[in-house]
Amino acid sequence: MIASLSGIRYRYKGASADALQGITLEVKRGEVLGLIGPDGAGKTSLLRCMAGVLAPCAGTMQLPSGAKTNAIGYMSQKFSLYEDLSIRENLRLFAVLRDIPTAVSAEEMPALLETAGLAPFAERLAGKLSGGMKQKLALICAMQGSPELLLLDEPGVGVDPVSRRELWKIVEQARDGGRGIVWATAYLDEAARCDRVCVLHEGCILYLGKPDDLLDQLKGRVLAFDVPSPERMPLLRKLQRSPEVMDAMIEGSCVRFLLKREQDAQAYLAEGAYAVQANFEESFVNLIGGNVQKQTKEPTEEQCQWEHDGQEVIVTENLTRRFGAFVATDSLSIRVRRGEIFGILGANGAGKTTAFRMICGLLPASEGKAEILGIDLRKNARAARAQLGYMAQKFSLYTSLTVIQNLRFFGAVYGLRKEKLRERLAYCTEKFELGAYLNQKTGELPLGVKQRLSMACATLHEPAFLFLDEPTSGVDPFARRAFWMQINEMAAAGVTIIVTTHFMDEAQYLHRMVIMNRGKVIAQGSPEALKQAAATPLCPHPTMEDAFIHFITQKGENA
Amino acid sequence: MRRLLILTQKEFLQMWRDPSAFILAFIMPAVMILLFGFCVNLDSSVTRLALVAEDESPAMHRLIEYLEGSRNIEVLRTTSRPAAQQLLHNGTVHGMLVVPGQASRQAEQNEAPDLLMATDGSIPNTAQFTAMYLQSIYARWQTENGVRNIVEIRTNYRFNPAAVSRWYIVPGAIAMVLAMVGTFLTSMVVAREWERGTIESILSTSTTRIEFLISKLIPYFLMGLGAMLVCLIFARFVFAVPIHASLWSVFGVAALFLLSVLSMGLLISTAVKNQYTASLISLMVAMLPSMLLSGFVFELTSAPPMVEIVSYFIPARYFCSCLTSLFLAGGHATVLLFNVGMLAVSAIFWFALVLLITPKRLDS
Repeated sequence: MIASLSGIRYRYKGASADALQGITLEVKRGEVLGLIGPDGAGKTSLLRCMAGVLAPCAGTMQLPSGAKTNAIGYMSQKFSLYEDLSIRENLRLFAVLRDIPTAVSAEEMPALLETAGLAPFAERLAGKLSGGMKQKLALICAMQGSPELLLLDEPGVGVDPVSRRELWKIVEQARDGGRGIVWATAYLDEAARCDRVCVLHEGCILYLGKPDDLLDQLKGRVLAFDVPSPERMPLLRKLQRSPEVMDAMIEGSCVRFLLKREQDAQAYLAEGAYAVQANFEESFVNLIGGNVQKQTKEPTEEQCQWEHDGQEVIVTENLTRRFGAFVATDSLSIRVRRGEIFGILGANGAGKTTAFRMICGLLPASEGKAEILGIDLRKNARAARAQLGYMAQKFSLYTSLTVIQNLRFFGAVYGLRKEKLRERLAYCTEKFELGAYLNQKTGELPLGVKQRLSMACATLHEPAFLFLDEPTSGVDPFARRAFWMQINEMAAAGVTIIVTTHFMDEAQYLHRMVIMNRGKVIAQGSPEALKQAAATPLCPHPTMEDAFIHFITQKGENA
Repeated sequence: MRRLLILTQKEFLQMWRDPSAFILAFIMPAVMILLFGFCVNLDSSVTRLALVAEDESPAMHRLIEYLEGSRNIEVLRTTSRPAAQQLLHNGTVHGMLVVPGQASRQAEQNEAPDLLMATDGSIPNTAQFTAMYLQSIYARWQTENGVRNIVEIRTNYRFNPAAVSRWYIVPGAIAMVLAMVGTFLTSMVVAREWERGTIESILSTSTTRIEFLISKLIPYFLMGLGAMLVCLIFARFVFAVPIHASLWSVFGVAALFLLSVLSMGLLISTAVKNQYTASLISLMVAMLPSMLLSGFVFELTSAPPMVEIVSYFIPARYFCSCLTSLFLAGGHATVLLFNVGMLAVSAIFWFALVLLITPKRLDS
């Protein structure tokens, strides 16, 4: 045992409830303990208490030779090294500040740089590194002086899949060297890699134990139906209304759902459902006792009446954009049908946003053409734009305005007036559950609510096309689920949706997608087809992330 | 000690890679000193005077000749009092002088003639100069014409024999520039750590608060001295302000003053934790009180008592007194002793305050 906590409580100044409500746990030598939960569950508060940057209000902690020494390595959530110092300068600074003897740090630095693959960039400023490299730097910075306990706050956030694997590799090495590691994450799929998980929710521990045991609790309770696209939403609603069902979700071409009891499965299996492997999101829903998400409203007749004609409404041909000699997007050709959810996937810097901006007419193409409903965007972008709803990365909202002021402003910009505006405001407020926040300042909203507001603003004018650029970046998994639910509903009502994302696990919500790397499309198709194409004898059932890495490495070998 | 060294080294590196600090420390003082030195000028230039001569006797004519011969006065002859008044009203002239018809008769009877003088009170500074010029010319005329003269006033400005206002404005401007540069430089540095989140990394190490603050003071203290050097070069070689005291004593008081203003900057930065707000506040806190309450433009003796009390909390006041004394009088012991003492007290006061509010943890 390296650390033990008992009854740790913490309350932020001015808060009405404890952020941590008596946390008791142990960190063992040679294990990765996953600290898992949505945003606001108390992960960061707990790690900060352990790192000594917050003082708990109650409870006792036994940590290796007290806090603030080189016995504990702490990596905070926000990148908190100096961007204007080089990698080597950052490492040296923090080695001295943590009282690591010069001889020791000089000896271990080359090895650490080597493990992180940063040795060739040692003199580069930290601010000039990619997201993944920054996280690796922060990790080895925390590992200096071989601390017994490593506290890592969401190291995998905003990092491309390849770098994320490398981070895990470094951490697993440290674990095998006998250290204790706490890895906090909001991404439940990371739970599978941990030796033990501690699931946090609203400052309490819901579960502490092996991750596999968590999934075993759901054995036989997760089923799925394969249904054609127009029938998915009605089926989903039916399932959500059923008292036997705890949670239901559309995943690609199927609808999967979690039953309260295993006994009820028989009836569904007889109707053509099949059993699927439970995931950690479902086990979390199970732990908190059912999906807290509100049931969605039935669509109106009018919304369901649209032609499922498979018309290709967005067509691009050899769309290319250069910035000087740099080719950001290289001959992109896609065809998107009405009512489809089409994804552009790729790591940061793969050319997703550039492609996306060209398709919706915000950025002129260097070569090739893009058409929406047969309108050439180079010739008549204005005419096409009236049909578009656009949600920018990082939500372009006015942070000093209230929610209702933002809605009114965007409504006015889209040319909605009087009765129509009032009607749409009421509709969007209800649909995106903004009623409770209308008079709050937008800057003070939680990220998930900001995202809903941003969606509301983008859909006020009932666009036929919705362009979403990294809509779920930084939003916790539950807000993400709610978000995809809304997206599915809109697609079912005939809205064509194009979305970019760097979260591979979101691919399951897409109908079709392209995977981009260094400006080029390296694979396209439906999620299932892509996963199948990536199957190898070594990995017969790849996840989307496995598939992504497969395509990237394959292309690399060919090149 | 090792920690303090590397932290200071870090600050130097950051400063070196972000040249805005250099612009602030070397270019801004130069620009400000030039602006103040050239634009804030309390000396009068030529005043325009409307003259109504109703009496043109030889005696009175001599007076008018004196007026017309003066370098400071440009005479505009008018025919009547209303015409002169009109010129005064529309701002064409700064003052008017009427030599009434009975003037020479009064002078012959050895009486002081009833000259009528009016000045434009809406520009008080110029009005005062106009009055002063006229009085001195009149006094000269009186003696030369044997008119009864009871008191003779001879003005002599000590320490500033030519009464060049620039000589006391420049030291004042130096105090203000240094207050601004000092407060500005440090007002960013703690807020930057909070904004970028690097404070969390620092707090998770064994760095003490004193180490943290001193590592921030050292580089900017040196920058501040550099700014002082720029100011002195401009004062001496562009404005030819005499510096009677030794450079050591001038830099000595500047160093003490810098400790106060740098600590004030750190205080603002620590309190607001946001670079933009911190820079605005430091501008307000450093510039306005230093300008208004240091006594370099506005005499503090003529300020209401309340305002004078507030001025005792402004370190620029003491620095300004020290500099004026050192530059123009070579340093007067009692003046210096009090002001240097107050500067030291102020430096300790502001630094202690920052130390007090610097958090040990994220939430304290």
